[in-house]
Amino acid sequence: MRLLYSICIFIFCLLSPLFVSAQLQVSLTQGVDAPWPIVVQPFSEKDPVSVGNTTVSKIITNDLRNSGQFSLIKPDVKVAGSAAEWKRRGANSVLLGEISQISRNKYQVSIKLLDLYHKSLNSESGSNIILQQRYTVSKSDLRHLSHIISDEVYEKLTGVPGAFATKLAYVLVNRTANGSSRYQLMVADSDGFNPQVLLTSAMPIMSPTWSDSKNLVYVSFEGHRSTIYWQNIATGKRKIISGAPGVNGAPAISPDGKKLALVLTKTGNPKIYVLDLANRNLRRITGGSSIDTEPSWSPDGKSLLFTSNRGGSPQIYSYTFKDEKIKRLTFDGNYNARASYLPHSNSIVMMHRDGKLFGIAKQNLLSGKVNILTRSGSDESPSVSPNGSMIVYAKQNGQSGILSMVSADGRVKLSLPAQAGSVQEPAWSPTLR
Amino acid sequence: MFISGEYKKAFYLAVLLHILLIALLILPSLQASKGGQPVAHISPKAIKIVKTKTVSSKDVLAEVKAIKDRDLAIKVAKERAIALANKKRAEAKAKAIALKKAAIKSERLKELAKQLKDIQLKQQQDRKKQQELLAKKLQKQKQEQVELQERQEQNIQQKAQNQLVVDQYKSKIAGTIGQYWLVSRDMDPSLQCKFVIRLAPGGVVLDVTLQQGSGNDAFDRSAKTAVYKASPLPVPQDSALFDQFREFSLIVSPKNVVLRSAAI
Repeated sequence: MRLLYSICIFIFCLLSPLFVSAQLQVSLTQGVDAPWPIVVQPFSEKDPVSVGNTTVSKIITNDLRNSGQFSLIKPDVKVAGSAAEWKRRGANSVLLGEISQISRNKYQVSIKLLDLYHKSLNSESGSNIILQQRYTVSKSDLRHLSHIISDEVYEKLTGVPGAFATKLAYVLVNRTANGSSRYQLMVADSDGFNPQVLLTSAMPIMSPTWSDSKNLVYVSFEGHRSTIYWQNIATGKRKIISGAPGVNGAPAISPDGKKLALVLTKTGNPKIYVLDLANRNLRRITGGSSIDTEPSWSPDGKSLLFTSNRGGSPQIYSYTFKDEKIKRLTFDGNYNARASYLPHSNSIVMMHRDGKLFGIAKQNLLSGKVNILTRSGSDESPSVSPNGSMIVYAKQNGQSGILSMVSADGRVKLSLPAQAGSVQEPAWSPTLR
Repeated sequence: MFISGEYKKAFYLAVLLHILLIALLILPSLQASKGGQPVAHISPKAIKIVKTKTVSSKDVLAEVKAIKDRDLAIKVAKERAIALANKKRAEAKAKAIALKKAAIKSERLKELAKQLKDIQLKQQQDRKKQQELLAKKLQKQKQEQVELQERQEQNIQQKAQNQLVVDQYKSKIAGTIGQYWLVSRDMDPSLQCKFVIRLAPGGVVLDVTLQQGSGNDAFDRSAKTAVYKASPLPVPQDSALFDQFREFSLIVSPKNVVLRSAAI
């Protein structure tokens, strides 16, 4: 009996350390979706280098703020700043930079991104450089470099590549003195600066889209019939890639750049076709008597989204190349159009009308859940940034349209600087690098 | 009668022994009653009647004869009486012997029975004693078990109490860090990283060491920053319980990101 008792005690003693010595585990699953506090210190105090009417650090500040992912804490202009002071202001990270002129037109820009919480709060030397770069650029490239720095900071702190050093293509429409319209194909920086005219026409220009980061594809009605053009941005050189009788519309280049999805009216009604750009083979994708338009490629190039009224109202459908199956995707709202895939997520972004107001909506393809991002009543032509974080669209403001943006989570909305004329059909470029 | 299995064998052995003993005691007396009993023998010669012959001298002879006859008769009667008495005596003696023997036998039997009874009683007593002892032992054992159980239960209760407190602080810590943890709702929910966090008494974060990265540096950094910003973390006052929080691991995964203002 004593033995049994002793054995029990022994086993108990043997097991008891297990409860004590196993390391405690705390599980953190709940966080806050709020902007990351950052300080962008002015890059150069003594010799501020102006870029237009702004500075490199201001461009970066603007980029980061517009992304919605950062809250910009006012920099400490008096002193160079210390980790303790930045922390006191609530910052998690600090961007420091220096610009120096190394020759007549050459500037050297160096940056340092500090992580203020590398070590304990009490430690003065707690900050750590998590990004350090040096660039040499000409003065005209300082603006572009600013966007590149924004991209680097963005990627370092969010884990997602930035899309600041990208471009926007759009159509600008102006009324002329004699009452007719002037159409211009424009390309600008992602923040709306540096607008450049690629083409001016008295006839409508429509559906600009990026073939790659250096070339555009669009529809022009010059010559009174719709033709799909391909044009190099740098040289301005262009060529016709589809001039079939009837409508040539809604071009979309496949992700591998080898195929063009477009709308033709060979059978009467607008239908989706795919043109092999190398061998000019044309294949009809959709049939029937409905209007099918606005094809858009999936990131893997294996399927297309398109708009069709085959169900009565315009709705989004998908076409899969492998099994040639067409599937209706949208059921919410009485008008869904201009769909495109949102990269890195199982979602599509589209124009959406629920009731009478047009807005931009995001639909999760797995759950079918529709998330309305904007609903001003006349938001049109959404185009997604290459990193999937922002959506640019044309917001009709009375008679004129302006470039507007909304973050993919719907949290941040902003309008880009207005310009003379009405902006239509913006298209976000792929990553430039 | 209920006999427990353990003692069944002993009991049957005892019964067998008793039967054997009784048999041993009874068998000799049975044999004695069959052939061994002594019987009084009376010689037939003793009862011989003497016959007299008549002689010529009539009277004398007759007288003599009469006397002789009488004498003889007396003698015979005497002899007969003696014989009878002898016989009676022998019979009585035999009877007495028999009686005595019977008495002795019965006494012996009685004694044996008594002995048997004694043995049985003793055995019974022994058995009882054994049972009592066993019961006592069992009871003691039971009590010890109960005591052990109580002690274990107490231990478990204390442990459960401690665990409750520890769990409370675990969720308090997660909640505090979570207020400072800035993470996008679009973050891949399958991401996971693990830190080892060392605390000073009072909950001040001494250091946060990444033990297993998620593969997304920005994600890992967001969690690490949150831990440092949340310092000091809520920890138990009790130093024994705090010891568990002196160094603990933090598993981070963006499963439940909410949209609200952060503590910053």
